Amino acid sequence: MDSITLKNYRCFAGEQTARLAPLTLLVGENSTGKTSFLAMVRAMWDVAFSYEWPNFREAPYDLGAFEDIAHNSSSTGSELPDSFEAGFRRTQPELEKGAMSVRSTFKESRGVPFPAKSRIEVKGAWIEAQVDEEDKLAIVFGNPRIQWECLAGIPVAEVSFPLSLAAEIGIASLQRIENGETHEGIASPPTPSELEELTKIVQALRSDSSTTRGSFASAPVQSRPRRTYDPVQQSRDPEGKYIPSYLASLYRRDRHGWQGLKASLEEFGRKSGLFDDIYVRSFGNTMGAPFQIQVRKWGKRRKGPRRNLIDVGYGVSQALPLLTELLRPDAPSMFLLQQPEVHLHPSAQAALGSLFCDVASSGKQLIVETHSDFIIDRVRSDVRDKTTALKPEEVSILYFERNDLDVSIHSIALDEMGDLKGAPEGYRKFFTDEMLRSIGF
Amino acid sequence: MCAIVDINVVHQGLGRNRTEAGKFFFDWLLNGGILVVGGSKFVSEIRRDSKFLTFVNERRQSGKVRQGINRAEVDDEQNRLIGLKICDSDDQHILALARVSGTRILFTNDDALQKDFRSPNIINSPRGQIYTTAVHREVQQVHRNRLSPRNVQRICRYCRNRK
Repeated sequence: MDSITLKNYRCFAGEQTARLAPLTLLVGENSTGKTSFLAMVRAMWDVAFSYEWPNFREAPYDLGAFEDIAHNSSSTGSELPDSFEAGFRRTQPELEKGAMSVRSTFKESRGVPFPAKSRIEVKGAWIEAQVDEEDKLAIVFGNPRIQWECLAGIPVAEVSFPLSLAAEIGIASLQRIENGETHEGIASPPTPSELEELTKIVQALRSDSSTTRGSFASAPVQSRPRRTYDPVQQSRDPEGKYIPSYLASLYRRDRHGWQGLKASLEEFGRKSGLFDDIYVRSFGNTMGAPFQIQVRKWGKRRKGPRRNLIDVGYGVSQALPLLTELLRPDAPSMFLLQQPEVHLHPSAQAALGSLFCDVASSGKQLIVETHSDFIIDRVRSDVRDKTTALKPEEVSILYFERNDLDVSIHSIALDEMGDLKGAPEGYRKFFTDEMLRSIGF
Repeated sequence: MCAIVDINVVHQGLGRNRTEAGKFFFDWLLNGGILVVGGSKFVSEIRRDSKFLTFVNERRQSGKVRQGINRAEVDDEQNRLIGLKICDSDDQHILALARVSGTRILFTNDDALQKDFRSPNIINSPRGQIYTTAVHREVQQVHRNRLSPRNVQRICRYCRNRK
């Protein structure tokens, strides 16, 4: 995603657009909407690329009911709008005409927000999924000259996701029109070039859905470590409960894959000071055998003992799920991270900043909510010193500033020297005041 | 609106016995002024003053320090000035920073450095201006004029281009 737009959503009044980059850092005081922002990024990702309807109550973001999510600045709820909107833009290499934009209008349906209208558009040509008040889905194609319905009256309970569905149905529908089989619902049939434009959108959307590996949203606090694990859950979860099982499974079924991930984890472990070696200790040869996760630190002249995850600092077990998710070979395309610095020493926080740069420069997108100066400073210095392939324009800092009851998002960029461009006056005011107090100014 | 601060006058603004005019300068930095930092010697001097280091670090994180200045370029210019032997002062690193960055306001109380900074043979197009508390410790009109947006934008190449 290159940018995201919010309108009448949570604490964001009116319409606001924020620049997103391969690495985007969200900063600001507590309760300024950073987590709500992440929730909407995930919802819009789901709108465009997932086969599921967006869910604003899914962990780690539980935003509540429609009335909790739509922007409401009055204490009585009298100013509650009947809808809120969001959209994003994304550069599509497959599309000659540039960026594709996706926009959704969310309305209340049985107390929760539902995308009543979602549209994907590329330079005038568009596909729209509309859900009416009777929960019936219609898919409409169009361009500045014509528009036509290719599907209508389908109960939403019977279908998966609108835009992905539109892409699937769209290809078939367009081919039928192209073959002259049907022009139903079209006052003026599309020309071959118009059909080609729409086909390109559909193909781009399908291509995105197939090439992207989904998004991953982490919770700020990860699950507590255990002395011994039984292989259980394998599917991703925001608190990383599945990570020990994933590591053990990889160790048992794919030694080559395990060695690669182990090397990456240990490289970060050394840079951050968290650990030097990591092991899976298996109590049996079967996939179902219990196991332990162990780490080891090296001294100056000799290596220390292997220690169980539960017997070392809490930071190790808290960081491990996130590190694994970032470094595993089948990592998702989009990471939405909340305060990854929790429990980490500043040196490990700084190392995390470098890791974010490396991951973001490898084609992934990271959106990170953070209160850590060490992460931000490391990103800036890595960009400046060119110790990462990440370019200044591939970093965006979004500053969430509270103005009375509403919040404004300021997009701050980096220059080639890692310095901030476009920081508003209020940015870091608290830190400046504290600094002046501490030096007695 | 940017300016260079000679490390020897930092106490005038941040020290326990700060002067009114020294505080006025640092207040200006905190309200829109941009601190210019660069070159190996200047950075090592900052590191020796913990209060100034804290101040610079915070201003840097707030995006209010101009660091977009190539350290090697300043160092080379410093060595060039030393080689030319045209300076009365031994603060070639500050003069080099002004030449490389285009900054034309310097807060200093050092007589020799003031002379060098005003010398057209060293700082020219436009000439450098001095902010000092050596003559008046209280804020005078000359202090206000020196830091006025109009003056800074007129004489500073960097500020002029950003206008």
